[in-house]
Amino acid sequence: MAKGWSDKRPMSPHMSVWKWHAAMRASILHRAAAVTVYIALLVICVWLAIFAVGEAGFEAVKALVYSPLGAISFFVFSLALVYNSLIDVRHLFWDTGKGMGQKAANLSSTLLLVLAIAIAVVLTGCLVCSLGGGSS
Amino acid sequence: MSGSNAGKHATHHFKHHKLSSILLALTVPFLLCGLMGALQTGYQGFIDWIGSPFGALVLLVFITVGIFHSRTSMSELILDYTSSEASCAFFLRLSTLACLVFWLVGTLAILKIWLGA
Repeated sequence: MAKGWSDKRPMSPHMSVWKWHAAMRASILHRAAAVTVYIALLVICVWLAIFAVGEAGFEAVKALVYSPLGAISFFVFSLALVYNSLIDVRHLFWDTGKGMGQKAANLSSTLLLVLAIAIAVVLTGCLVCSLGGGSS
Repeated sequence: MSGSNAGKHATHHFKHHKLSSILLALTVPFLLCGLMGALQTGYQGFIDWIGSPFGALVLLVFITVGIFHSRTSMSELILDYTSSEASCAFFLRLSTLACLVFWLVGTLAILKIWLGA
């Protein structure tokens, strides 16, 4: 724990309390995805303001998005966004009282992560493949 | 603590988070498809997409709901990972202010492109 920490509650995600399992990984990744989406949304707002000013800014942002670093950033953003949405949908499903057992929760945690990675890979692939025909 | 979504605010926080997550999950596929299609067509294509009612609405809903949802998520993280009440209150207010300012910037930019102001 950090120096000067006064809160006596165990620090979430309670790694010192629970044995490691897939649902815990999902919880940690959900938090990381939320922070990623939070930062990305603020960046998107700035980009929109740049686009509203004129074409020069758009071309600069487009060059950034189509660069290797941009493709990696796009993959991370799309993964975070899709994973965040999928986990939120699972939470809605959990609200019905179903799928909350240990095995079901661990299974859905792994499946949703694989699904989110697959969707993010496809989206990033589409972005990279569109480079030849779409770049100007 | 005020603004911490604790106590009587917890139910509202829960409902708002659920509602925004539904809207966000519905908007994300349209946003990603529209955004990637528009990116390929260059600046004018992108402006045309935002200039259309559907594109503008998708982007407005995404920015508004996304920032609102992210703020409620960030509030939970701040509550979990800040120890003192003073720092907790500071970061909660900073997060809210940042969200408000960037939401205004994004929304005004969309409206400017959409309405051609």
